[in-house]
Amino acid sequence: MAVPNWKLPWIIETSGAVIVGEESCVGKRGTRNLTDNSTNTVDELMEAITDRYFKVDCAIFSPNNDRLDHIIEMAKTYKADGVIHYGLQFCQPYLMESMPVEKALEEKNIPCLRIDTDYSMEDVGQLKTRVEAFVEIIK
Amino acid sequence: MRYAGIDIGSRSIELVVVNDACKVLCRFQADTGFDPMAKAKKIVNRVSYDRIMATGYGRNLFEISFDAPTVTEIKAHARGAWTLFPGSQTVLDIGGQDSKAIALFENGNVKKFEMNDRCAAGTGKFLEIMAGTLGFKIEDFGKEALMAEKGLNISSMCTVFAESEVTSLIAKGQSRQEIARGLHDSVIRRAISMINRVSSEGDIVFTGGVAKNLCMTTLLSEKLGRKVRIPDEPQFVGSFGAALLALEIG
Amino acid sequence: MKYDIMNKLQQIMEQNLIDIEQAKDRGQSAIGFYCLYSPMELAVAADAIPLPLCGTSNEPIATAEEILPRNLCPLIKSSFGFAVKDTCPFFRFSDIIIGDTTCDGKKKMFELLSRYKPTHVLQLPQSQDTAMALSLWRSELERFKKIVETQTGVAINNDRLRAAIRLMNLERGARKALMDMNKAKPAPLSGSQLLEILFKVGFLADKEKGISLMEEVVAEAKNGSFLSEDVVAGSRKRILLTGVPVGLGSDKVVKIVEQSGADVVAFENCSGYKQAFFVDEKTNPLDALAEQYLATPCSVMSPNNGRFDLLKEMIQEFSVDGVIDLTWQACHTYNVEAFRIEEFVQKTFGMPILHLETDYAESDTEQLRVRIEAYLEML
Repeated sequence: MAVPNWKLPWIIETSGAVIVGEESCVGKRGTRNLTDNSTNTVDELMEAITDRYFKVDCAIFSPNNDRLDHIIEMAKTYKADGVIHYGLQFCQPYLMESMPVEKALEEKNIPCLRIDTDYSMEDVGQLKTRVEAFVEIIK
Repeated sequence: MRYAGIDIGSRSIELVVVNDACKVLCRFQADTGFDPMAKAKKIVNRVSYDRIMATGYGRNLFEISFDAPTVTEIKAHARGAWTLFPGSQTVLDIGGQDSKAIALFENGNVKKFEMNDRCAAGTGKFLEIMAGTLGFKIEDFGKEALMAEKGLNISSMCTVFAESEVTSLIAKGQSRQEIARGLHDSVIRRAISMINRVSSEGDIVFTGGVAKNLCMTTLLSEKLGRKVRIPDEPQFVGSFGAALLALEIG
Repeated sequence: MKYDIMNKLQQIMEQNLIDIEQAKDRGQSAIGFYCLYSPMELAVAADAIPLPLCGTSNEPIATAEEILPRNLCPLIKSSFGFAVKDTCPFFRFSDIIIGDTTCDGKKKMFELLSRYKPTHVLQLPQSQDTAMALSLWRSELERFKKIVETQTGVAINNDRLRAAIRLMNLERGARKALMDMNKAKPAPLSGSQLLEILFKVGFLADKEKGISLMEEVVAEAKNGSFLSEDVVAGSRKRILLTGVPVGLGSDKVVKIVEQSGADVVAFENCSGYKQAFFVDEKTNPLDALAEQYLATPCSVMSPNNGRFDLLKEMIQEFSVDGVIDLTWQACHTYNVEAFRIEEFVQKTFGMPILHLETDYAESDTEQLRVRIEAYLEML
C-alpha cells in the first residue's frame, strides 16, 4: 500500500477480510533478502549489495519465476486464504504477469483475484463487488 | 416462513419472495431512479417476509437502512442460476451496468469470476444507448438486429466512442439493422472472451435483463458452440438467488 | 499502371510459401524473428530460413484479449493472437522464435508465447553508449549463435557469418535504394506501394529473389512506371511518417494521408528506414553485428539519440514538408518520446508535427481524417 492511495486495502478490510502480507515493493520485496554485512572490504561489501539488489523480483524482469515461488511461499507462511494480485492500469509487466501468478496459485489451490485499477475513486463500487465476491469464495 | 431477496441494480430493482420449498411466491420490479432507497422501501413495503437478503449495487445502502445481510450479485446470480438449472457450471450475467462470467463448483459455489471494466462497455446500458442512437425501442433492438444479413464491424466498446462510430456509420448511409447487428456482435465477442477466461465447456446459463434480447441469446449459442439456457425471467435471477441465500442462512 | 508489380509480388509470395514448405520437408530449419534487434545473419549463416513475424492485422486481437490485458499495444496483441489462433503461416513454419527484451509488453508477452512454441529471448540492454551494454549484447549474440547451431546442426564459422553479413547487407542495400527513390520530387512511388513491397519482400525465404525484385522496382520507378499521370509536380505535400512500425493491415494512417492529397515519402520506423544500415564486413563479424544491431534507434533505448539524428537526416534528404509521429495505443516508449520528437522537429526545422495515437481498428478513421486534413492545411 502506497499512502495515501489506500483505496484497495480499505475495500478489502471493509469487506470482511484482513490483509496479512504484502508482497509488493512497498512490502516484503523491500525488506527480504537482507544484505550480508559480515565482510570487511569495500569490494566484498559492494558484492554483497549487488547480490541483494539483484534478487529483487520485480515484474520488469523476464523471466521472473522467483516471484511466483515467493508468492506461494508467502501465502503459506502467512496462512492466507486467498491472494489478490493488484495491478495498476497500463502497468504492463504486472498486468501480464498476473496471468502466470494466477495459474501458479490455482495449481496450489489458492484462490486468486486479479485487480486492475488506478488511484481514482470512480471504480470503488465495482471493486467492492469483486472483492466481496472473492471473500465469499474463500470463506 | 417467507424469504425475500432484493436486487438493487443500477437500472432496476427486483424483489422475489420464496417459501421453504424454494418456490417463488411473488415478485416485483421497478426502475431504480435517482433515490434507490426510497424505491426499495416502497417495494419492500408491498410484501411480507421473515428474512431478507440484499444484493446489487445498492446492497450496502440497503444494509444500513434496513439492517439486512447482503451478498454480492455474483454469488446471488450463481445461486439463482444453479437452482433453476441444476448442475450448470457457467453463468453469464449481463445487467444494466455490469457484465460477468461466473464459473461454479458442482455444489453451486462460486469458483471463479470475471467482470467487465469500469465503464458500461458491453452492458445493458450500452445496448440501451445504442438502440436510442439508432432510433429503435430497446424491446425491439434484438429482433431488428437479427433481421440483418450481416453485421457491420464496430470496434469501439466504450459507449461514448461507439456512439460516434455509430453516428458516422449512419452518416455514411449504412443500414440501421446492420449497425444494430454489428453492435450485438461486439458485445457478444466481449462476453465470449470473458466466458472463455473462466470456463471452457458445458452449458451456459444466461441471466440478467440482456438475456431477454433475442439477438444476444441467438448469437451467444451460435458463436460459442455451447448450449445456452435462458431462465423464463432472467432479470429476476439475482433477487431469486438472494432469496434462496436468505433461506439458507437460517 | 504500366508495370504490374503488385500482381507479380502476389505470385512470388504464393510460390514462397510452397518453397518454404519444401525446404522444411528437406530438413531446413526456419527461425521466426519479432524484432529488428535480432540479427537474421545468424540464421542465414546456419542455412536456416529467417522469417519476420509481425502483428499488423486487427483480426487476431480479440483472441489475444482473452489472455492478454486490453491495455496493451495492438502490435503485441496481434502478434500473440496470430500465435494462439495459429493463423500465421510464418509462425507455423518457425521451429524456434527469437524475441528481445525490448519493451515491457513484448518481453512479458514472450513469456506467455513460450507456451505455444520454443521461444528464446535475447536480453537486450537499454542503453547503447556504454562498453558494458555492448559487451552484454555481444555475449547474448554468442548465446544466440549456439542456439541456432543446436537447432540447425550447422557450426557457424567466420566464413559463413561473413557471407551472411554480405547477403543481408545486399538486401538492406536494395531496400535502402528502393526507399531512397522517394528523395526525388515528385516521389516516384506512393507510400502505400512502397510499404506493401517492403513488407512482402521481407517474407521471402530466397533473399536473392527479393533483392533482384527490389532492383527491378527501382529501375521501373526511375522510368516513372508508378507515377499516375494526373499528378502535377509539387502539388502534393511530402510527409515523413515516424514512430511505430506499420505493415499491411496497420497502414490506415498512410492511406488517409494519401486520400487527403499528400504523399508519405519516407518511413522513419523499423519497417522502413531503420533497416537501412550496413554491418561492417571487415572487422570480426560477431563484433560488427553486435555493434550495428545495438545501434538501432528504437524508443526502448534510453537515451535514444540516434532517432533524432536519423530523423534530422531524413527530413533534409527527403525534402519533407511535414512529419506525422504515429504511436500505437499503450506503446508507452514511443508515446512518451513523442513530446521530445515534436520539440526537436519544431525547434530544428520550425515545422509543426502531428502526433497520432491509435490502434488497428477502423473505428477512429473519420477522427483521424479530420486531424490529418487539418494538419495538411497547416503546411
